[in-house]
Amino acid sequence: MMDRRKFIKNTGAFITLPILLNGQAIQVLGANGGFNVEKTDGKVLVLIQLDGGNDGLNMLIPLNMYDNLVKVRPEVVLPKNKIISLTNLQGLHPSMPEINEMYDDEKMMFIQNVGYPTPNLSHFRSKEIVLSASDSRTVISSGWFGRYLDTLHPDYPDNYPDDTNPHPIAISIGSSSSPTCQGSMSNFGVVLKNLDTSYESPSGEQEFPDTPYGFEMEYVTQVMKSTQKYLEVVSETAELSESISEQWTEDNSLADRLKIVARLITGGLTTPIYVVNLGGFDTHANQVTEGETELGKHADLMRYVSEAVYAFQDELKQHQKEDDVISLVYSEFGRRIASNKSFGTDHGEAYPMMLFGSRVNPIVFGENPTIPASVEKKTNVPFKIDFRSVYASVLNLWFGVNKTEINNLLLGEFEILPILKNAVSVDDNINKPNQLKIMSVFPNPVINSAEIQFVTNGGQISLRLFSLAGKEIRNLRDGNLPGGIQSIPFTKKGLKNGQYLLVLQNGNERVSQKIIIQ
Amino acid sequence: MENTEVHLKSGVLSLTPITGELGFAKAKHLLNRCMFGARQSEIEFMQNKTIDEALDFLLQHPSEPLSPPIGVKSDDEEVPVGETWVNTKYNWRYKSQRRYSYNNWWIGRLHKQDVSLQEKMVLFWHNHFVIENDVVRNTNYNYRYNVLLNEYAFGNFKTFAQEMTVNVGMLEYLDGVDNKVGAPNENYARELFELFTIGKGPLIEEGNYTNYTEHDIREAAKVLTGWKTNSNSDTSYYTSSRHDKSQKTFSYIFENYTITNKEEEEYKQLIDMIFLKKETARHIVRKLYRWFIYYRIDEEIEQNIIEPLATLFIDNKFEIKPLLKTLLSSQHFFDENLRGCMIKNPLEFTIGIIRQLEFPSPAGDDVAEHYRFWNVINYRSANLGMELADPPDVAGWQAWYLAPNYNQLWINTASIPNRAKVVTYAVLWGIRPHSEYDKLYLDPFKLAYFANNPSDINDLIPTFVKLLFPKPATDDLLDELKETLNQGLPDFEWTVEWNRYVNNPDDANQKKAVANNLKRLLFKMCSMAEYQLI
Repeated sequence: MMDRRKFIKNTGAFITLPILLNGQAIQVLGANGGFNVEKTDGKVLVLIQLDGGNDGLNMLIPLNMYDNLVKVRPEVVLPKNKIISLTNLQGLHPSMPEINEMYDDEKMMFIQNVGYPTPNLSHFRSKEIVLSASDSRTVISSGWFGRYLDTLHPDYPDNYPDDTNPHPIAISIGSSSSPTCQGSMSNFGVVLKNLDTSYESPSGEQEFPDTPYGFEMEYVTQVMKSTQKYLEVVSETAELSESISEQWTEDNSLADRLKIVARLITGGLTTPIYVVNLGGFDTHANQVTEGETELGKHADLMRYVSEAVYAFQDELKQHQKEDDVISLVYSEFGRRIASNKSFGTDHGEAYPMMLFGSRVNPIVFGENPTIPASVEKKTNVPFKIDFRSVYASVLNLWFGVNKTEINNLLLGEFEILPILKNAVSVDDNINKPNQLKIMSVFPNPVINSAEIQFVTNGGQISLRLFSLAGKEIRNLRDGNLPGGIQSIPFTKKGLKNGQYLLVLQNGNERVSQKIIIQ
Repeated sequence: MENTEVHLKSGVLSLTPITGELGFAKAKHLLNRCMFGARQSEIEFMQNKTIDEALDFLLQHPSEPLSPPIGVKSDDEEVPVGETWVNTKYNWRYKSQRRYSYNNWWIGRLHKQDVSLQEKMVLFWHNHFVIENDVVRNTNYNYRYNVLLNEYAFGNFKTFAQEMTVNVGMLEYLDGVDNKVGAPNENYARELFELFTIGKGPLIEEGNYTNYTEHDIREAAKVLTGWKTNSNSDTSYYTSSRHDKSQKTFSYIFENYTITNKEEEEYKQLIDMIFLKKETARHIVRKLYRWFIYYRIDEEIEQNIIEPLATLFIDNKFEIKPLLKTLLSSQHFFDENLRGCMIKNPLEFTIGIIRQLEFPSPAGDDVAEHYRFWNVINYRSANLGMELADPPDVAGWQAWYLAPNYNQLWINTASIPNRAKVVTYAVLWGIRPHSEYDKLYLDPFKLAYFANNPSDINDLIPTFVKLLFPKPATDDLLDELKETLNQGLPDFEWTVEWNRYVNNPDDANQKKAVANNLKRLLFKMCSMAEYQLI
């Protein structure tokens, strides 16, 4: 039987070293020699997937293009007097007053014109592209977050869960695992339909032959064993919390699912990622009610999203968990600019994503799409922001993954967007990416002395040296620094030869790099 | 090609048929893959046949013609209980009653299936030419669609594709009814290429999916304009004035094939054009391979199995029967390494446990009670991720297309406890079709008597293993199962207990004690990983 541990080592060369940082057990992982401190603990990402392709032009309406929208999508365009004005330039679907309130409350960010080059208009292929973070010509069977989790948990699922990792690594609400959490070998997703399930796995140890039969037997056996353990911990956690928000609405399947997520987060599960879906966005026909375009299928969907997201955020707030969670609302693609005669819209390209939470940068990022006065049937909203830029930003700014590693995970270099409040001030140029990083330690290995160059966002920083066992060895710098490039000298005096970890902390952000003393 | 970092021994790559009598193990493998749970009597019926005889038998249509669904709800004011609604115009007022009837009728057909490949192939086609009854609410249309699936279960795939293109259910499902000149709707055209026939290839430039282009989709949509459905007759019809009569020219992939106005015959020409490409045959062959054998298709399987079968399929003008016969009689299909590697889908699991454990059907002729019983099965299967008549989307259930996990997607932390629940009801608690009916219970003695000598624990347990597990049990496993049945007592104690029951048939307590031990054993076996596999 194949050995997952061996497999990972052969292909990825990941190193796992448990260390203690300020007394807390953390894991240090590295790829290609660069070290990276795991810091998902406490940070949660909720992915809300709108299946079928959401009509962005009827969700976040470019008001400056309204006259042309009337011309090119007469069947579905919303009545101007019903559109909620979000800003002077953008309107919101009439069914989304709660989203408007969250924007005013500085908890909602929109990222316009998200897509990817050479779009694929097949639902299935486009979903694969978006969930795997591949380019449109490459087929990758792992998910983007799954690859990140691979680096944190290279042995999964062997012996999971255990004392170090007692909680699910990822959770999907529904009946199947999300491809987003597919690692190179296994899917990290624990699937939950509801919170009151228990299960007792059959006993027995076995050897599995190196055949398709053995492969599937091992898989089923493994899932049976971990199911029992995970369901115990999930139901125990859910017991520790209850829904207290009064904003939850009935008959809203997205709300039902987010309610489960909220219970688990507020109950104290350390799982860093949750995936929930809402289907029905493939609105080729009857997207709107004829003559009353603010009603219909899409209006119902927008209402589900708006109410569910609002209640979810309120629940987190009531439990003082708001600062730990950000949520991304996305789809496999947007829809055509032109409407069709069936009062619907066909598969399109770019569309706006929503990112929400108390920590997000509450702006509309990116300019309104340009809508010509007349379009061909096949004309689409062109993409300006690659969806992988959004993933890169989440990994970098939220989970603190360094850029080299992100390039490995996302198979290319993508711009980091200012998705968090502390990443950039509201007045600042929105294109300026977050800078926190250790730029260089030169020379490394350090023979006598070296110079450490790093970039901060300004404010309280600390730069410390740790042994790989997690003991703090030296405090190199502690204090307030202006944002930008900093440089400090470093000598090896008094240090034993060997490997050390340099950790730069700036506010809640933390980056690290391995150095060698010779 | 597939991501195959893990190299598995996938056995003999030969399409040469196996020879000789099948024997129990091969007959079981064949029936488990071709039906929903092979029953002891069915395996015994097949085991003395050659593969040729067995497949001739399986490839016959069922002995009885398809009988239509029956209305079973008294609050359907148009259709009396016990009569069919398929000839009554659809009335949305009774949508839930009719949908209940349609879905459970279909479940009932799986439950009561003949020894035939019919229902497995109907399900294959349902997963291929998907319509969802959550989208197409008209049950009469769903029924017409179902009749078509049955008619072509192992018929001619090309003719099937043509008929499906203008089927009432499909026209509604993929918006064909909205597709007219000047206002094309591309929904069906896209899926026709992407899923139903040639399949999508890699995107090699903008709008070019190797096997077809966005341009081809637009031209095909024009070809398909003009069709509507009639809810009085439940048939589709063609309206010339809605048809796009311009000349349609396809991309270089189809050698710039043109279709000039042929009115209602045009769609057939479109299908003809797509079927000229070998990739169409390959696409279906791969799908059947994944359905019947295993989801991993590597370079070797592609060359030695898929490619020759695609050629054979084309040589036989897209007749399904010769293709299935070659595939299912091959040494490859019967290779030891590939037996037991298929994770049961939810219907194979729920229907299978009912059939294999000889779970009783409701007695008597109360058709409503039968439908109630099937509804329990339907509910449980849906709970495991597979609701018959309502696949998740137009691509069908993910387990048959989503790499790299495919089949494994059926097994996760949500479905595992739900599978255990099915076993609990079927084996331990019994099933009550509805509060007004009696509960039905498993009779474990029926299964015990499958053994030549049920009083011998070393005959009884291997008999169960032979029926329920894909492979013979190891000694460790046999010991574990003995421990469950006999609670740690020496073997002869089972004989003593069994004989005490046989010799004192009136001792209800003794009977119950033996039955409970047998049930505990069956519960354990059906909860094990081995029982998830066929």
